This record gives sequence, structure tokens and C-alpha cells, in this order.
Amino acid sequence: MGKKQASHSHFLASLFHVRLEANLPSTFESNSIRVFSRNKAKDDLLEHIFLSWTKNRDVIMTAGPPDRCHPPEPQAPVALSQEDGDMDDEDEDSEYGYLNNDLFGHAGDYNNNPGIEEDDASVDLGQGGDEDPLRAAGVAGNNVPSPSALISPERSRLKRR
Amino acid sequence: MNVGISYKRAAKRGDATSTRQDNGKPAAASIKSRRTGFRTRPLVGNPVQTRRTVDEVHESIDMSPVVTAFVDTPQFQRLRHIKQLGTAEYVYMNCGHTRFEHSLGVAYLARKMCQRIRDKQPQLPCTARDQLCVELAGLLHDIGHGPYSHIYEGFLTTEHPLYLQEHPELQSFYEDLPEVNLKTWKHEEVSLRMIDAALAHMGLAVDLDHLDEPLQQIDDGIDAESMRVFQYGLSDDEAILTSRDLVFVKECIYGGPLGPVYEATRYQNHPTGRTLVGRGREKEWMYDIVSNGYSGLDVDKMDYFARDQRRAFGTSGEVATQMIEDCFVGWGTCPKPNKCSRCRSGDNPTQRHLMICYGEKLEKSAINFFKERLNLHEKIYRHKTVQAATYMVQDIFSLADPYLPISTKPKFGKPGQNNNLGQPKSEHDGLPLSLAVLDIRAFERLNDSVIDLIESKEDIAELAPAQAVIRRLRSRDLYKCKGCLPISLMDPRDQELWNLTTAQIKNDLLSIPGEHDNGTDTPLVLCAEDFIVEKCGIHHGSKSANPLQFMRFIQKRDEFALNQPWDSLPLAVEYNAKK
Repeated sequence: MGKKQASHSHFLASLFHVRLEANLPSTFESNSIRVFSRNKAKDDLLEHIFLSWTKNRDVIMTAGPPDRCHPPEPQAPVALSQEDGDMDDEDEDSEYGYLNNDLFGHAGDYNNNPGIEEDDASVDLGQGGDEDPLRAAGVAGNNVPSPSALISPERSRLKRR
Repeated sequence: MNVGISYKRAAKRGDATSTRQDNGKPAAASIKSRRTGFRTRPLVGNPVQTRRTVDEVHESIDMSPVVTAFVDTPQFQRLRHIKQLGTAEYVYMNCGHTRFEHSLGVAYLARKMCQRIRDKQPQLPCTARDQLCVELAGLLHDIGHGPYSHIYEGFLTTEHPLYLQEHPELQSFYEDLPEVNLKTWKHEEVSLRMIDAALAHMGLAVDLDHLDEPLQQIDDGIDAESMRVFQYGLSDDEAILTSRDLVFVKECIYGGPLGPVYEATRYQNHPTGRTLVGRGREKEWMYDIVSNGYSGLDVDKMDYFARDQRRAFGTSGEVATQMIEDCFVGWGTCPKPNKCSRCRSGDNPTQRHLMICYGEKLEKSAINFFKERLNLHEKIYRHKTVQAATYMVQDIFSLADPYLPISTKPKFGKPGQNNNLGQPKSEHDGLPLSLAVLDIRAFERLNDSVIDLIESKEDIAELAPAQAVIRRLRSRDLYKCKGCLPISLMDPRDQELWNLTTAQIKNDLLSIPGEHDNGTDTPLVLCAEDFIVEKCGIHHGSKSANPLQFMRFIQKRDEFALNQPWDSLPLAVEYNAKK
């Protein structure tokens, strides 16, 4: 009986331990380098130069932001073009925080990050920029693809940044 | 021992002059004290006669007469005009709440946590006066914030020095002016001097030569002996606030001995400068309630997490009630002996402190608390658009700085009264924004309306560049974040990037030939003033370390021993030690 109890409490303890560990992030920092443009006339120029700098520095551009719970696996470098970098149009809504889904009551839930899901979806499309988005999304016939499926991987990546 | 003359007896004896307050109710009688020679009025109150206000987070906040006296000073009322989150309302429109609300909330939580500990551990030497002091520390901890809260701080310590480096021609404006020692400066230092200014407004002052006596009466105002706990059964000794109590309040806010604050004053060699003198070892845990220097888990964060979340997102945002209900006082090994003033001074060879600890079942709640911190920084405080607006405000300050002298004439104080404790009296008619922290008379004029002031000075031509940025801000034509590179510190290449300074990154970017065909004949060339480089570091409160390792937890089996005298309390365990 005593042995059974000990086994049970050991099981509970290990369960608690696992849950606690799972709740802990593997890294406690989330850092980034950002550039802000003061001069509207040079917005695109700054963006272009910043992208050049990141390429010059041989920085591997990962598909999403650094995941604090599960650091991303390094991926092959992806060329970013000026055309893909139209952040203004893409980001206008997110400036008000709507895309964070905060206004829908999920702000307190740390793990509920729809942005990551969106990126994951775009990663699933593959890295081929020239691929037909409908085909990439696995959509056939008259089915309408989801808006996120139509965003090219590079575009989606820039949006995250 | 009865200290001085009871205010009640003095009120009966003096020649009372009836006055009326703004609300139409008769004010307490003002009398001329034989002891001090000043016309003073007593605070009146009893345990059930308090001022009450409604708060969106805590529902109802009661304020005792002493708290009310501080709240009613112009130095504290100034917080009504300083936004808690600076420019966050450009993204989250409801984030227009002020430091005033937050300060009242922190005072409420500080009193609540103290009361909770007194109830659960009655053997602890924690008096009603101690509790009032902790409440005052919560109330006054942010009284030294400048315009737009942390934006002014960033302007002072980072952006303005950078701006002067990029514009050496402006150095001549500052040649004859005093300098701020940015290496040691922090906004809490201004808080302490603002507390002195608020006390002076009440006609009172801290007397470091007589720490255990009532506050010094230096002018007409509130009777020093009526600054007390209004609770039946307490003697004057137990109830009246002393200078030591106010030093304790300041130490709680400053997070250590007050040395740097009293440099270059007659008190520079006072013990207050080297060690904590407010409270002794048996009460050292009280220092952790408002500003926890070990783990960062304190009532200040509890309040602003809840308040900011509620304002920004509307639907959530509750105080970490469990962290207040289930906290205890126990012994713990010092989590940061290298930074702890008591451990460094050698007074504490065992490196053990009486500190705020939590039941071990609260580990998960603590993790969530720190995750919430990171979450809020990502979504609100360091949001790219909030930061863009922040840089605009800092640019406005930098551009206007040499041309907008802030008057050093007393605004709230009485003529001739020098509230500028600890600093040389300014010989100038005004100080620039960046130096207003040196003269509290200039600083107490500053709030968020300084932008309106700059905008209104149309007759000063030099302010035109600043006014142009204000016009952009008014039409929400904000700076744009045009690039963001996430950094994973596990990657050595990213680590290398992260080790670069912003100036190095900026030079790197400027060295890249980036002429851009914009459809005109003149090619565009990027200049230093065209952009800002930011290293955005967000963490759980202890940078790369696990914040839980700086907390101490009471094991379940030790909880029975919590009802012991302070020197017999159990030893709390470290987070890692349990594993």
C-alpha cells in the first residue's frame, strides 16, 4: 500500500514538474534591432539599406519571430526584395493592435498568439515564391483559399517584421 | 515619552482662525503654535472618517488623512497631467490614464499587502505607522516622473546626449549651465526631492539631525504632530510620523541608502547616505513591498499590469490577488548579494534577509506574472508605433531644449522658499528641459502640457523645427518602423549583432550605398538624422535569467512555523533548490 502511495505521489510530482517546466520559457529574452524612419521621403531607402545590411551581415532570416518557448530551427537564407517590403500597406491595421487579437479578450493568454499561427500557415506553403498560391494552399476547384494562404511566404515574413 | 505638544491640546489653547475650504466645508482651525511660531492647522480624522474614491481596478480606495494631505499637494496633483503610458494612446486609444490613478492604486495595494501580512503573522513587529509609511511609499513612488513618464527619462539619459553629439554646434548653449550626472541619475532621485517639496508645501521638512522626532515645522501649514495614524489606543509616540519615517518612505522608493541624493549637502556624511536607517533588520521585508529589488515582483507592477491591460485591451486585467493573499515573511538567502546594500556593507555576514516569500504552490502564478510582463512590453510598451511616437516626442524635446527655458521661480511654494534641497541654487532665469531635474522649482512646472507650451511659442523662430514635429504628431503622421530584425541570443551571429552599439549599427547602415531611384534627378542619400536605430530588449524582468531564481518560496511543511517571532521564522527555499 505504502509502495503504491509512493508511486502515485511520484507520478503526481513528476506530472507537476513536467507541467511547470513546460510553462517555463527556454529563453527569457526577446530581442530585436529596429530602425525608424524620420524622413518620409526616405522610408523606402532606409528599408532597402536595412535589408542590405542584414544580408551583408549574413544573418539568417528565419520564418517568424524568435519563439521564446521553442527557438526556431535555422533555415536557409531567404532573399528579400524591395517589392516584397511594402510594410506600410501591410501594417496599417496592426498599428492599432488589431492583428494581435488583443481586442478579443486573449491578451492575458500568453500562448495564444495568432500571429505565430499565421506564420506557421505561410511556412507550410513552401518557400517557392513563384508557386501558384492556390496550388500552394492545396486548394482545388471552386474552393476559396483563406486570405493567409494567399500571402506569399516572403510577404508574410516581412509582415511579421 | 510624549513627544512635544499634542495637536488636540494645541488646538484648544491657540487662537483659532476659521477658514473655509474650496468645497464649502469649514476647514480645520488654523492656530499659531507657541512652540514653533507658525500658524498651523491640524489634520482631523478617525478610522472611519476617510476620503474615498472609486477606482476602475480596485473599485474603492480609502485614503487616510495623512495620505489625503500628500494627495492634495500640487506636487502630487501634477501627476494628473502625466500619462502613465506616454504615447501608447496613439495605438490603444483608452491608454490615456495617468500616474495619479496608478499612484493611488499602488498605495492601496501596498497597504493591503502590509495588512494581510500583519493579519497572518501577528508576531511580526509591524505597526500601524509602519503600514502608513509603506502606503505613503506606494503613493509617492512616481511623484518624480517628468512629462510623458518614461519618455522624459529616455530623453534625458539617452536621446538628448546623442542629439548633442550629432549637433556639436549646440554645445555653446549649455556651457554656462550645470550638468546632470547621468551616470548616477535616476528618476527616483527626483521623487525624493519632490517629496521634500510636497512636505515644504505643507510647512514641514525632514530633520536628519532629529530622526526620531516629529517632522520639522518650517512654515505655516499642517501641524507636524497631526501627521499621524488616526487609530484609537495609540499613544503619540506610536502614532506621530517622525523624520525617520519619511526617510524610510524615501528609502523604499529609492531602493537603497540615500547617499547620492544628499551629495554636496550638509548631510553628505550622515549615516543616511551609507546605510538604511529607516527600519531595522526585523522590518527589512517592508522595503520589498513597493519596489522589490530582488525579484521585481511588487505591488507597483501588480497595479500597472492590471491597469494597463485593462485600458489597452478592455476585457482583461486583474490584480494578481493570489500573490497578495498568499505572501509571507520568512528568512531567505540574499538573491543578489553583490547589489544588496546590506550584504555589501558587511552588516549581514550570513547574507540572509527577512523577505517577502510565497507559498510554493504559487510558482506557476509567479511564472505567469513575469510572462505577463514580457507580454505587455511586446504589445504595449515597446509596440513599434508607440515607440515611433515616443521618438517623436523625444525629438520635440531635443529640438526645443536650448530655446525653451523653464522658469525656476517657485510655482507652488511661497516666495523665497527654496525647495531645491541638495542642489545649488540656479543663477539662471530658466533651465532647459534637459536640466530641469536639477532645480525642483523648474521640474514641478513640467507635465505633458509642455508640448502645448512649445507649440504656443510661435514668436520664437528657433522652435519652428520642434513645432513641425508637433504638427506631424497632431495629425498622427508618425515615424515609421522600416525594419525589424529579431535576435536569437542562442545564435552566435545574432549575439555578435546584439553586441554592437546603436551608433555602430547606424554607421554600418550609413556606409551602405543606398541611392534610391525615386523618379527624380536627385538621388536620395541616407543621412544620420533620417533614422533612429533601436535595440529593443524585452525580457521577463531579470534579463536572461529566470526571475524565479530571485524569489524565495515557503515549503508547505514550514507554513506552520510562520506564526513565530521574526527571529524564529522558517528559511524559505530557492526555486532551483527544490528540483
